[in-house]
Amino acid sequence: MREWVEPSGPWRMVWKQLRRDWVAVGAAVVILAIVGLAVCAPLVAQVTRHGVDTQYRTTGLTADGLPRPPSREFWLGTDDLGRDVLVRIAYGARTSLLVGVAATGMAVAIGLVAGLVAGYFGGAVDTVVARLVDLVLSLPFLLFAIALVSVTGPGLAIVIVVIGAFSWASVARIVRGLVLSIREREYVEAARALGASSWRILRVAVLPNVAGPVLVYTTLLIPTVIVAEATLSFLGLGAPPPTPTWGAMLNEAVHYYQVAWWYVVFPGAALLVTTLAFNLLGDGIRDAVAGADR
Amino acid sequence: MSSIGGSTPTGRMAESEHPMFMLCKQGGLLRPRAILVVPVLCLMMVLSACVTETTPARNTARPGAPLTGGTLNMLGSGDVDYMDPNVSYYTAGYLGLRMWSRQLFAYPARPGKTTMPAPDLATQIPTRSNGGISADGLTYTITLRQGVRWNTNPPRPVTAADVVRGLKRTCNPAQPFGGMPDFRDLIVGYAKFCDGFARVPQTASAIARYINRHEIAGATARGERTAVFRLTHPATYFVEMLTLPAFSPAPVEYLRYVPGSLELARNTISNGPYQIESYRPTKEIVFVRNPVWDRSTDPIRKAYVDKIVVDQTVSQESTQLQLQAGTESADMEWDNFPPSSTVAALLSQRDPNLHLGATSSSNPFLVFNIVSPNNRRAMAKLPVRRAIAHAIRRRDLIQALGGPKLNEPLTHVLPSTVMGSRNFDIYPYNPGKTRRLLTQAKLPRGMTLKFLYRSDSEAGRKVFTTLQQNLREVGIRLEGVAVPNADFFTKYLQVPSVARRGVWDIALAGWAPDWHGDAAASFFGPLFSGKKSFPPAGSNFGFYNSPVTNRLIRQAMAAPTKEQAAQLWTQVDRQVMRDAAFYPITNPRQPNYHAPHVRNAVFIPALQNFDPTNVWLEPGKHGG
Amino acid sequence: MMLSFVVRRVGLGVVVLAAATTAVFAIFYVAPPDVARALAGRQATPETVALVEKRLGLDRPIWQQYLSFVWHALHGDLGYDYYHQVPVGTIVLEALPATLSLVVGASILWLLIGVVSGVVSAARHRTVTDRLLTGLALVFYSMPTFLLGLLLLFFLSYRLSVAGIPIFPAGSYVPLTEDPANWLRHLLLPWLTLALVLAAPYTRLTRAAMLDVMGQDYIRTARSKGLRKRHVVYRHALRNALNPVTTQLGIDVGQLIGGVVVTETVFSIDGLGKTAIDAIVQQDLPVIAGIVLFASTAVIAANILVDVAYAFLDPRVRLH
Repeated sequence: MREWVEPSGPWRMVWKQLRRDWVAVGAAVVILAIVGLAVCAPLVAQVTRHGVDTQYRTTGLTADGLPRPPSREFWLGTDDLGRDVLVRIAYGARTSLLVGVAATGMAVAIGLVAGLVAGYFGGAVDTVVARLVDLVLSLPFLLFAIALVSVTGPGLAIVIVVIGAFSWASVARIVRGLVLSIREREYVEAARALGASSWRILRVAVLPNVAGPVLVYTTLLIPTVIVAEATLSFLGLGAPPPTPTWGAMLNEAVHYYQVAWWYVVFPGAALLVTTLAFNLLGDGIRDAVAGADR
Repeated sequence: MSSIGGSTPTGRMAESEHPMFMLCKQGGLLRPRAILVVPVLCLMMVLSACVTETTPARNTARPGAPLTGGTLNMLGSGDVDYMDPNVSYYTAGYLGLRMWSRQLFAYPARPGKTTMPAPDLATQIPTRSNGGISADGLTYTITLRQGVRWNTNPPRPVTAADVVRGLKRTCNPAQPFGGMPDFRDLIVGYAKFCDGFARVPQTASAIARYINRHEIAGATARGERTAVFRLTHPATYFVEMLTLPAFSPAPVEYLRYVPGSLELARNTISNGPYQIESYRPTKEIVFVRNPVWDRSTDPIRKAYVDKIVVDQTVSQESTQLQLQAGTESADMEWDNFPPSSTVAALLSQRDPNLHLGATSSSNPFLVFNIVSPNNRRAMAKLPVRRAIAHAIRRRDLIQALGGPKLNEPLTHVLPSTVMGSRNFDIYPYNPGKTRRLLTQAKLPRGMTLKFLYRSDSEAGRKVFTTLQQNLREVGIRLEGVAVPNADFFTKYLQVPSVARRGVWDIALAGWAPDWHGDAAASFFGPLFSGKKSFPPAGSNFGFYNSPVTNRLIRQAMAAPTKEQAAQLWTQVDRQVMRDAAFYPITNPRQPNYHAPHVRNAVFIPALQNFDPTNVWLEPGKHGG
Repeated sequence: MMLSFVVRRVGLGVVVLAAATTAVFAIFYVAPPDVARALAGRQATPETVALVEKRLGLDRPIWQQYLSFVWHALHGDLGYDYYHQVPVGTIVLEALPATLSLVVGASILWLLIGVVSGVVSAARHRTVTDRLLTGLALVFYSMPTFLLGLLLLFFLSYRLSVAGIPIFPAGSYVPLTEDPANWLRHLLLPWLTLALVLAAPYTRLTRAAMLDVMGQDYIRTARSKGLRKRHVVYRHALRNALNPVTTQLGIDVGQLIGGVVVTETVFSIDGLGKTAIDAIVQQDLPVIAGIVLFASTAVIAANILVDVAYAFLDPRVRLH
């Protein structure tokens, strides 16, 4: 029963359009580079001959115990404990990407299912899900996240769960909206008239049409999640030390910004470049998907 | 998730009108030349980074005569714990009380004598020769000065009955004084009084009724101006203890209010040089002169300035910037102190407005959990604890904590400013000895120890990472147990079962004495005196219990003279260190900064700050 | 029809408020406050701690504390903070002006930045200016608020002050009633931080809406009639942008009241956010509950207003 299914193939068009968008391609390259940095973090440690947690108290700190600026030995300078900033940024990329992917994945997984079910089946299920979404979106995220983490204690897992728990709602809302509009289209009506099961319709007709926008939203959600994690780390609620995260490094850097600008600028730049790249890529994908839609 | 600084890409639009679709209609929406942006930003940064720094304002030393007048502006970010002298237990509270609440004895602002009590409301320090202390050392007879009055309407004298009333208020059931355990069993009849008091309803009237109807056998007033204390054992540190604001006299009007309440804070009665004009909790306190205060009756406070304004809404960094700028509106710190990054710079510039004061504390130190079952009860074995002590390089920890200038190394229990402190180091860094001791103890190489610390504590984090490195070199793996600040005591250190289960082997804690000078009792009592000091009642978190030590402590506490007490305390110190009950790290110094135009800023350890009641302002800088 | 819509929305809002406060209590039920111990002092015996708990009402079971809180809240009494017994209502009202100053000022600024740059971008569609503006907007949008705040603090406050140009103070808040000039001075950097980060969606929306309109027939007709281009652009296109921009504004402002936590922390502004964080650190439950209640109310009120406005404009929405 393939007649009522929309011709697949827009994915190839999306890909073609994306390839021509040099900004998006550039962003993708940057993202790959960051992923590479994260994966090769031990390599960075080897090349610089500095460990990620090792404190170089004699070479890495001034006599008064202040960080040292970028030099031939420490390419990006040291932090307040005499550790190599470059190496810590590399390992910090792991945390940011891990949280980014995990929390986003969680949010999209839950949100997609909730949105699909609510949008397609409607009725009581829809009401419950829609109201739940409203509730989650009305709660002040940061206040609750802080309260929760301050009570359970910091940790990577709790951060991922908290961010995911607050992010799924906007995904669900978008998906629900999309499903509602798709539901009205003729081929879906036709399919139902022909007796296709709900699950099959969902899988074959609804899902592919939802996939595009969801992909765009996912790509745009990742930087938001990374920023959320950095913010929680900045407030001292992220992964506990000595795990390096960019937000935690900036948390420390606040106290030293008058004497150690590199400690603020480099982790900050890493954060900015990562989120910017994801935002640019997301925009590019959105344009490509919208283009393919025509 | 707008709250984080980005907007939600989705709006509250009708479901079919998704903004994404709306925007997609435009096509080719964003093709930013992001490359252009980056060099622009870099240029901005480079340009402003080229701006050079100027040197801080220096004050030219000009010892002039004291100048009366002006407004003293103190900047801070925290508030007093209570405006109630008999209940306040933190130094921020003590600092505020210094302006308006006098005690029998107080620490004077005389360099070199700031940890030796001087008579304040009392006429003299009691000794055996002047009859102030009885021959057996159990009775203290203290005469109050004449001419000290409360600023009531009309003013009336401060009496011995007020002193007794103040002591009674310390164990009220609504907000008991936190340092009560220090003297609960020392003053005759006090414990009994407090046990009965604890059962009374927490209302002002019930509290007043109990106070009026019950007496403390060992605290009585003889006539208007003589207070008599009877102790259960001689205590050379009793006069030092009387400097605690908890022993402040309380006027009868205080019985109208619940102790420690906001109502009381708004109705304080002063016998000191200043009185509270206004108090907005966590925001501001304004002190003005107390017209009833007679300068000739107060040997402790000179009160040169006319007004003191405490601004409690200023951040640490901002406080430092304002003080260094030398404007009229910023004179002293309230509870802020220079950020660690600035202290190093100030030290290297030899800024005379920076002072590193003695804290007389051991902070932080490493607690050894002697009852931990881990690694086959390794921590219970003395050779293992000694091995660990030898594996730690104190120098590294001190550098992580901010360097030796701020953190005096401490190799035994009592900090140098406490009576009875003698310097000795039984556990110098010696990893070879560590390995030998561990092998002798037949412990497997590759022991894992758990380190408990507060997750939000910068010092905790740094000590953990450094200690981890130190111990790694001798084959011990250190695992971190980072817990929220709120749980650190209530869920971990103060719960005996947690320690007995081996949730932690080493913990990071700290301790400062409740009073100064002859203060060894304030260390050993709560920390090392065996079962009495076990949590949850005491702070002996490692469950150290040595009958030898306990006996020595009892002897030292009841020693008849200060000389004997000092010798005994030194012995206790040695014993505790021989038992490797814990690992001391440092006696930190408290950095304080004041504006260049503030004169006679004398640091008093009991206040952990310069004494505001004895500073004066240079002419021309009197403004508020 | 309209009325029932509003009523339904308000009803939902109340439900959400109840859920929010329940959530706050639930969080602290998991870990009952350590406040009593902190107030009782480090040497406190269990008996002493119990006395303080009794005074604070913490010895009651959590559901009882919750019900008491709800009962009092419905009567307008948000309770007292644990540490200084100041009424929570007073604490919220004292912190509100700072947050309001921050949010309102920043929103005006980001509206200005966003709309103006959106207009310019649309007018100079596909030129370098367009790319630069939208690019910059995106760069700032990608920054976490605290990072931008830190950078501004360092470069504009510290570096300039040290060079002798202390225009930008290093944070803290001066009430408007006390000193308007300094009020403004102290808020410039925080406003800038928030505005730069949040302007991007407005740039986008304005630009999109204007391009949308600019392509439409009647505009072309009007232009062919010789009307000045700028006149055309401003009049019709901006009106088209009004709808999505105000919608977004409503949401942002509503959420921001609960969300300026980071900016307030970085710049030491004693607003609702910073007060909430301090309360969370100290486990001052009445204050936390009070602020969460307030922040959630702000969000819900903003959402209701937006929904009502939208329903007013688009009748289809009322059916949902």
